[in-house]
Amino acid sequence: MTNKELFPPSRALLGSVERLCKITSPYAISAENDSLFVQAMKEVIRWHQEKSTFYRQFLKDSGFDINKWDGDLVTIPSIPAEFFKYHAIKSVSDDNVHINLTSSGTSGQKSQMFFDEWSLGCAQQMVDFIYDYYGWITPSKKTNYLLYTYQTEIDSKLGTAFTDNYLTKYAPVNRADYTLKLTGKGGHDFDIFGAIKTLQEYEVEELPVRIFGFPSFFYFTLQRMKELKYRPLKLSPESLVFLGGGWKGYANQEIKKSELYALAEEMLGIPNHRLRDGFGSVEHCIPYIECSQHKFHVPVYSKVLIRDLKNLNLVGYDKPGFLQFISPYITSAPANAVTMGDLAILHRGETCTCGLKTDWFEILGRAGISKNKSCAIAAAELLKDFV
Amino acid sequence: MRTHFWQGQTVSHEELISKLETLESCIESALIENFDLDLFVESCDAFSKQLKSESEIQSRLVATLTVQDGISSDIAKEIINSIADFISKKQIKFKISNELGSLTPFTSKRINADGNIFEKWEPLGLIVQVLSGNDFALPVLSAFEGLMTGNVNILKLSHQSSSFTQDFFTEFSKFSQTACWKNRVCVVNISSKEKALLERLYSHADGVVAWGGEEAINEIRKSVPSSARFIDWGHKISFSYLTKTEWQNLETVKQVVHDIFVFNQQACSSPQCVYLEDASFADLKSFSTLLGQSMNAVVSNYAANDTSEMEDAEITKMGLIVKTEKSLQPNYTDAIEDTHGQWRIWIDSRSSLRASPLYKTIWVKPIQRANIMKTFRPMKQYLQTVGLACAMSDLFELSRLFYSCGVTRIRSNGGMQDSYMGEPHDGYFALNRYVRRVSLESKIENLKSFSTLNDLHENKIHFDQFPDKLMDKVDFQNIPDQPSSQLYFKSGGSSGVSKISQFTYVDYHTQMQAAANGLMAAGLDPRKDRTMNLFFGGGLYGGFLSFFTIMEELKAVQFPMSAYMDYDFVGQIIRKFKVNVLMGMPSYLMQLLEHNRQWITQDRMIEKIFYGGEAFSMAQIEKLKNDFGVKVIKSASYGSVDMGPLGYQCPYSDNKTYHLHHNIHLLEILKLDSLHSVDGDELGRLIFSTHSREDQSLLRYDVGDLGKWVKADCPCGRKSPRFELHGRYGDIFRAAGSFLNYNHIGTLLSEKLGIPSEFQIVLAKHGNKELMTVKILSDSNETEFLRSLSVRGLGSMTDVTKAFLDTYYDLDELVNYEKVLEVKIELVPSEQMSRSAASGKLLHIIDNRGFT
Repeated sequence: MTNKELFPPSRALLGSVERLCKITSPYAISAENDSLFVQAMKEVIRWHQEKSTFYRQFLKDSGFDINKWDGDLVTIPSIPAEFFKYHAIKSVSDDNVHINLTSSGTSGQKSQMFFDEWSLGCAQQMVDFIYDYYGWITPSKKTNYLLYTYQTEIDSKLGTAFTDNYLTKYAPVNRADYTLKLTGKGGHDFDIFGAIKTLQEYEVEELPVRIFGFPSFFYFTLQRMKELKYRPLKLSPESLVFLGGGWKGYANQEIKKSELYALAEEMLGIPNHRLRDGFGSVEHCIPYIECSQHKFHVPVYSKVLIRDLKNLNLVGYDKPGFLQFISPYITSAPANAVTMGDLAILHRGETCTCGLKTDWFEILGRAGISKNKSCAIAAAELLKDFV
Repeated sequence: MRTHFWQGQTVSHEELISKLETLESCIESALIENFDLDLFVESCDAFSKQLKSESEIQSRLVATLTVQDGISSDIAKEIINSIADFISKKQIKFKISNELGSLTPFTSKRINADGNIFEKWEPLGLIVQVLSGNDFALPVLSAFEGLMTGNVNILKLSHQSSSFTQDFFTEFSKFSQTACWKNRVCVVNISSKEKALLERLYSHADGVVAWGGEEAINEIRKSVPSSARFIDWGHKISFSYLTKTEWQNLETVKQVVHDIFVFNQQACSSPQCVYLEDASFADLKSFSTLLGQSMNAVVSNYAANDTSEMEDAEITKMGLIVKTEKSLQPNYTDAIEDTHGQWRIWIDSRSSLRASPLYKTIWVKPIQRANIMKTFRPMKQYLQTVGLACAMSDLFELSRLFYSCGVTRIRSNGGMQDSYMGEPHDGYFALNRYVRRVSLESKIENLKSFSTLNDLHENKIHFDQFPDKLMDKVDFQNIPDQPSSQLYFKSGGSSGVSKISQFTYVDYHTQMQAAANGLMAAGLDPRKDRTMNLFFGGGLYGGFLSFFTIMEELKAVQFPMSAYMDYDFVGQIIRKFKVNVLMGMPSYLMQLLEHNRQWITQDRMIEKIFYGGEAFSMAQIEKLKNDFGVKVIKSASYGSVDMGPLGYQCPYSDNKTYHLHHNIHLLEILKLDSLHSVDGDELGRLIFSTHSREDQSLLRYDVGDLGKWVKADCPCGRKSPRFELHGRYGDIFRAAGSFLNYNHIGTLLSEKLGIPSEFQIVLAKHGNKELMTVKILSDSNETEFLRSLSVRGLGSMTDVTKAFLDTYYDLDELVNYEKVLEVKIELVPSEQMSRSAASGKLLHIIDNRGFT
């Protein structure tokens, strides 16, 4: 596995940012790392203040002066993640936009985030560091993949042998199969029987299997196998399940993660500690990956604060509130302090038995009213031609 | 433990599962049972009264709400009271007739006179109702809408719901004597995640009602089979719209504040945005400042926000976006918020409709009138109320624009959330969505005189509460004047005192519809007949007006002449317009015909006569048939002003036989001297009970008529009970200590002596004896009269009297053996006969004996 070396858009102005994002021990706690973090935040705030008219005005309206900042992360003005769904905000010229990611929003609203090569690349590199930390980079072991992600045109044309999905780079691809297959009409269909058949074949091949993608479709597969009274499979114990993306349109069928893992252990024979979920969002791309105890530990690249639901004051540990992420990684848009729409609790690192010392957080759900409970009907729908 | 309510009983979850195994046969048998709507309404009304009183039922239900749902007992009572109003007889009846077009929507009615085509509403069948968890009264109200339309209802409550709905129907079920609804309602607590169970329910459904938010409704829609009608009641959004002069008007601003504050924006009809027509950003800001000041001035008069943590979070989240957006560009957004956090005004330069997180949070936005369509029409499925403030000159244009966008309600500011009885819900009448229209066509000839197919089946109406005591004229007169009464008619007054009956228009039309059906049964053909209405009118008398309405109901040709005294003119019109049917009182009709005898006996164009008020004698009928060529002579209706139409005739009825209007009345025939029912066809008192009145309870009313049952089936095919009329209870009179019957005297005069005329009996003292004078109406002289009799050889009136006594043994005994009574028969010209001042009816018996 080789990566081309990445640099921030200005190594002079963003030196600390670069250093922080390239820390290879993702969960190392040190005073040095903390002061590097503050330094990096200073750099990136100045960077956006310079590049983005909006951000400049926003800091001013928020009464925040970077020259007078004492390094207290709590005082950095935070932007609600939802704001980025309605407004295209960039701190780079169009030429430097490497990619704009549109989140597969639940219904209607489209989140558009702009990334330069650095911002996306360094977030992906953090995944490399975490995979490495867990020993999941295995260049010598041929691996079979089942991807609960959308099949792309290229994959469709070249068959299933090739994929540029970056998650497949950690172990060489023997075979890869998508479960959300192109229909030829621009859409995708979930191929549940194809998925089951592939898993059955993988069992025979005995190679390690890696399963990535949406938990919902993964669950439907296991559930179908069980309903059809299929014989539980015994996949290689070196297999890995890495989920992400949430339940999207299937929230009403969502089951507890522990139940899903129990089902996966039962039907596929993959050990519980090799079943992992990831948390991330387009507005904040730092990877949060479950530890062996299924907790989301905060890596050195970011900080998590929890805010009061009514007055946004800091609530500290062990109490629910808005989840706020702070990270200097992103140079393409001023999303360095983002208040998420999720309700979460922050726990002290030592309360987890996995051995990691950094704090971890627990997602309780959506902070706010579910669309079914109020007349705030599909606010999404109302906002569709808003931008 | 998880329980459910299934057809009147509480069942365990295991029992529910086994019930669902046999669901289809269970629904089939429930549907085939007769649903007696009127009885159901009575039952609801009785229960409604229990709910409103400080009853044990009320306190148990209040307890459920306070303990399980955690609301105050005042609010619990308010909720129960609102349900009680909804199921009161008055409101249900109004709702049914308002939404389904008549009070008897499930009766097959003839739709036109041409063919035998009948239509009616029919329940969909099984309605599965999926309720959202956040409204306590809604599941109950929704169930009642399903019940009013005769459907079988399975209510799916959310998993977290309290047992209120279940408890409510358990109480109602224990209270109600009426069985017809109990198999038509089930309450199940099934989670939305129990898909297999739900899909089993849906697979049997003829309709699925979905309440709730958009996502929930879409989710349900996906599982509903195409065989079921999908009926959604989704969440809606409302806004205020103020034209330029109005947003500068402080009064309007105050009204807007009221709309925002009064229910904390918890209703779909509460405003979430205020639109200012033609406003700049500076205008939005100055309006918002004014709005904020008005809010501050009154906020303490309204209930404080009772927000949950998540509701607070929603407010915080959206507020954060507005405040962040402010930095995007000047004059883009702004926020004015109460320092105590009670209210928020969010100013937004974009016109797009936005949902507010509620609880005194309002968007203020600008709009151009030209952009109304393009702004709101994309939101059409969500739009409900516009609180509109504009000049009268703008009202038409703006309302048209809003309706075109999909808005269903336009209200004044300050009253956006007010409702009125019978108001449609989100553009629909609910009941209309729960029924289907069915029709029947038949070639059976006899059906031609049927207005409704209901007469083909036996229908006995039942009453939830039935008194032991009879009600008489005096009781009737003591009914206080009802505030709801709209129509007043004089009922009788033979005794000199005017008696008044009160009706609502609904009562009146129910009765006129029944009478119209009866008239058709009697032989009126609305398609061909040309009828002259010759009943008396004026002076609060109901005859002429009632038949005017009846003819209108039948869509029949009518000449509303009334008992007009210019017989020549009446005759001319009959002749000129080819009138073939006369309706009126016998005494008037006889005089009219006699006056026009010459041409009518020649032309013989009067084919049918429908009479009312009094009866023709046999001799008169013979005369009508033979001299004037009338083919059909039937009673137009048997009834009284007090009770309305009671009976009607069919082609097989003789002059005293009637069918009961069994859809609106119950008839008992009781013995003359007790409250026992008569045996067989024994003569008795006719006692009627009706539910054709909105606000008056007319149960076991003794109308004063005598009659007997006719037990044999009628060849006409109608299953309604038949009875014979045998005169007035008051027509039995006591003379010289013995009971005599006016009608019997009439029968003898007519049948034995050939005296066809009307007559009157005058009783007087005569020394030690009593004198009974039989005054026979005759405008001819004695010689002519004697010549007209069927008995020959009578030379004087004394001879006539003697001949009469020979035919009536009991009377003869009093006169010639006991010698206690004198009888005299004399001829009297019509103007000298005593008539009722009110109705013009001939008085049958005049008692001048002066007893105390």
